[in-house]
Amino acid sequence: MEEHTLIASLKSRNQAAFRQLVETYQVRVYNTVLSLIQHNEEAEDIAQEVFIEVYRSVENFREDSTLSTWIYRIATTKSLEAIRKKKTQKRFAFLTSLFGKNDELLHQSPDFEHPGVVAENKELSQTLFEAISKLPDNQRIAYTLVNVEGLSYVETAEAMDITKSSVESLIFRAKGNLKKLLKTYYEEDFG
Amino acid sequence: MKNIDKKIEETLNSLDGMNRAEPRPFFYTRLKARMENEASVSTYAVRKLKPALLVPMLACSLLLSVASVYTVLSYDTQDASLSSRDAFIQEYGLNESVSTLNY
Repeated sequence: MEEHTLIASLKSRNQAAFRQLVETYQVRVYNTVLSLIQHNEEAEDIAQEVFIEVYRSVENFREDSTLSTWIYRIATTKSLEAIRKKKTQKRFAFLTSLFGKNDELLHQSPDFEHPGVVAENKELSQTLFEAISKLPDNQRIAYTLVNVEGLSYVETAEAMDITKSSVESLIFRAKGNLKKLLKTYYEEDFG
Repeated sequence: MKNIDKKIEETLNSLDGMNRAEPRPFFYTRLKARMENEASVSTYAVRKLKPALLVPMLACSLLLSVASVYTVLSYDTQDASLSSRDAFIQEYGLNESVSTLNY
């Protein structure tokens, strides 16, 4: 089914079209969300929310961008919302601990292991993902879309609704920040 | 220092050749189940309210109700006494001076 036909079918609430959309994009959405969230169960939950949002708002989709970049935009927005929510929860974590509440979501795994990483790079990638999680939001999204999801700068720019040169700038700053973070980490480790 | 620089480069390159992570099997089935479940809940807004918000909201609502009832009752009492007085004056053709006498 061509993209325009697929979108038209989605707008008319065709269930077969929605199934096709999910099956086409589920891996891309899940992989993007997982790389940003760095938590397996939460990633599935948010990936589902992405498709629910697509289903609900497809009638307002004006086809200014491709379906793919629109879905990436929803996926990154939903992931960011979840990250911010988690940060807020962490700020109040001391209060919940006073009442003995043990909320799993508050504690992000420090040793996130992406299942797609080749075996010999597992340990190094854990360190890299930890450093990526410390980047500012925009740098984190741009770096993840380009280096984990493999999008081009143009596709990333469309997904983030910014210019290509802004993406280049974000990637440049992200790499610089990652080098600084990793240097501090390894200096402590070797020192 | 060279060791650290080398390690940093290796770390930055550690995502090379990685594959995409895939969700667990039957993702679509679970998604549809969730959508149907959410659609079946008619009181969506109420469900979103957390107890931390619900309790103060109920308390405020109760307080407003009590205040409204109290205001209405006190107004009705005053109003009722005045209107019965006026009705009495009209019915018996009394003037103001007579009606204000204490019997």
